Amino acid sequence: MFEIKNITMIYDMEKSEKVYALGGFDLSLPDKGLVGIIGPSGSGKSTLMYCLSTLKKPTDGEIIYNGNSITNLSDSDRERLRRNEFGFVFQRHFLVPYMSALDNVIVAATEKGKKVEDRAKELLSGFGLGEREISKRPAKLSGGQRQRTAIARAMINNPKVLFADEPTAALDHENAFAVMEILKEYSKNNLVLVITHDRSILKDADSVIEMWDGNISRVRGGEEV
Amino acid sequence: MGQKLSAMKYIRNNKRRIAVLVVSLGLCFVLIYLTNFLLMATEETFRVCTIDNAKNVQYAFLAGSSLGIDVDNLDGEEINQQYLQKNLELCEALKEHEDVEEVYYTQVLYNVIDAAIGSWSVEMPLVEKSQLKTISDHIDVEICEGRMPENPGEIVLDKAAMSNGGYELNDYFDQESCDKTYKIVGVLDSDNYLGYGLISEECTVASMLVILSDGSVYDLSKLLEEEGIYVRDTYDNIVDVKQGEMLLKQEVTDVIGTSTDIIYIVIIILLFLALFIVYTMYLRDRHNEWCLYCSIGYSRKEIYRSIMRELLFSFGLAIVIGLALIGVSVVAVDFMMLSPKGIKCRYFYPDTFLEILCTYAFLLGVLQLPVRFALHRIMTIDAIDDDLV
Repeated sequence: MFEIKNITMIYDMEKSEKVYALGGFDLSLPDKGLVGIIGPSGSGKSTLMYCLSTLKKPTDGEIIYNGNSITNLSDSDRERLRRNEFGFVFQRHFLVPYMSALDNVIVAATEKGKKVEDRAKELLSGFGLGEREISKRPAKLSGGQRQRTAIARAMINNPKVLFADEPTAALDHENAFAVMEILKEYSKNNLVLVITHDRSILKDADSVIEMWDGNISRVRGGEEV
Repeated sequence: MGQKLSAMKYIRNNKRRIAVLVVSLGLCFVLIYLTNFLLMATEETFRVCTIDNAKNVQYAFLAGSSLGIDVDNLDGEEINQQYLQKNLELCEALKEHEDVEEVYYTQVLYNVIDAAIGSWSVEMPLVEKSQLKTISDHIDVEICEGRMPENPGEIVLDKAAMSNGGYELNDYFDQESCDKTYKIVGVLDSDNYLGYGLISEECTVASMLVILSDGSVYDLSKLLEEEGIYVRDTYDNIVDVKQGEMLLKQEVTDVIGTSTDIIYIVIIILLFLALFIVYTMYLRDRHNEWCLYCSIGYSRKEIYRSIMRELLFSFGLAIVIGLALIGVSVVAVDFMMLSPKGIKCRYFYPDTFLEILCTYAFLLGVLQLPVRFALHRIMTIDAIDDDLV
């Protein structure tokens, strides 16, 4: 699904001491499966995810998605791609505080009407949120419920790629594994990229990319991790 | 793409915030309109005093020099004699004009009419009993309460003059130099601050030429010029439609216009500052939300459209609420403050509505600056703070 060629991301371009967030490497990602990206802070894993998802533009190199280069797309094409093809689970949920859980899911939908509402309800109830919870605002939900709402929002359009940045960082173990189960299930038909510090949640990953200092240090199967 | 960012979701879920914005805008609408309404009530009242009443009855007080009296070489009594003589001659001469029905050189009372702001003196002729029918027929207003004057010092006022002065039937007219002299014995069925009566034997007030015309005398000075009288002396006082129009413009319309402009500008500046500060804070609160939308693929254009839908809804609702409040408040102000004082007013000023709508359009335009700035600040989620839950 993704072909990454010599991807480079340099911060502080204008300064004499440049910071290489991504050091120029090649990578290939499959059409489906759960792929973990692991590494310490500053290793470049989040930058890689943001480049793949078109949120950031790499300084050099090329990203090919489904046979098309997405490196130099216009802003509107990038937005269209994010809206139609990708789903996002951010580290801190980023739910809209004044909306109910249900509305937070619906807001990301590309379609409208009863069908979308039913799908949002189905996703939320599938993730364990009852009728009462889905009408609550994020502040009234537990951390796990918020993260599951964020995952439902990411899945509302059935995206081909789901990017999850530290999706379990703010969760206890029980909730963390529940979230990973949802992502694992979704990865059966789609590509799910999970960025994490926590190796234990990647035990079911199909492959794990280990990053160090802006480069890939190793690519392993999930069981090896 | 089917789904759009809904403005109503924010509005429905933030009713209190939207209500504060809408009510504030609506109240400013009311404030601007009410200010104009009260100032215009003053103009409406003075228009009757200066122009409407001068259409059928004109007054002229002419100084001795204008009448051709050699005031420097005559003693006081001679001057008075000549002054009376000249005025009586002028009466007879003016009667010959086809536009003039009757002319009297007689005493005139001044009735001070208070408007919402300021006051204006209106002339009320006092005549002999034999002349009363002529003047009442000319003014042509029925008595609705009390009776016509029968004895010296008795006068009649119309309903508006009664209310404005706070008079009851059989009260004495408030005349400083002739206290308890002129008794109000009847009320005329009119709202034009009219009044007349019989000369008192106990007290004398200044005399003037009272010209009862057919309504076509616009410029009394021209009529006087035909009789060789040129109105030049600073003591000359002419009350006719031309003078009324000029005085209304100079002393009321222009002054009110300036006051209205100043009040408008102050209100608009205050409203603009308050709105700008509140709206900038509001935009800052929404920053992370819009960054999220941008990250999940909404374009800035779509975010802008949703902001504008929210703004237009708020402004539209403010105008509707403003209109409703204006409707209630002008009626309330009229019934509680203006009508009891006999002050004239008009409820509907389309120009003011247009000005207010233009002001709102201007504010909406100015608010594009913070909106544009907020849109410019939108980033994707990798760069935003963690303000959202």
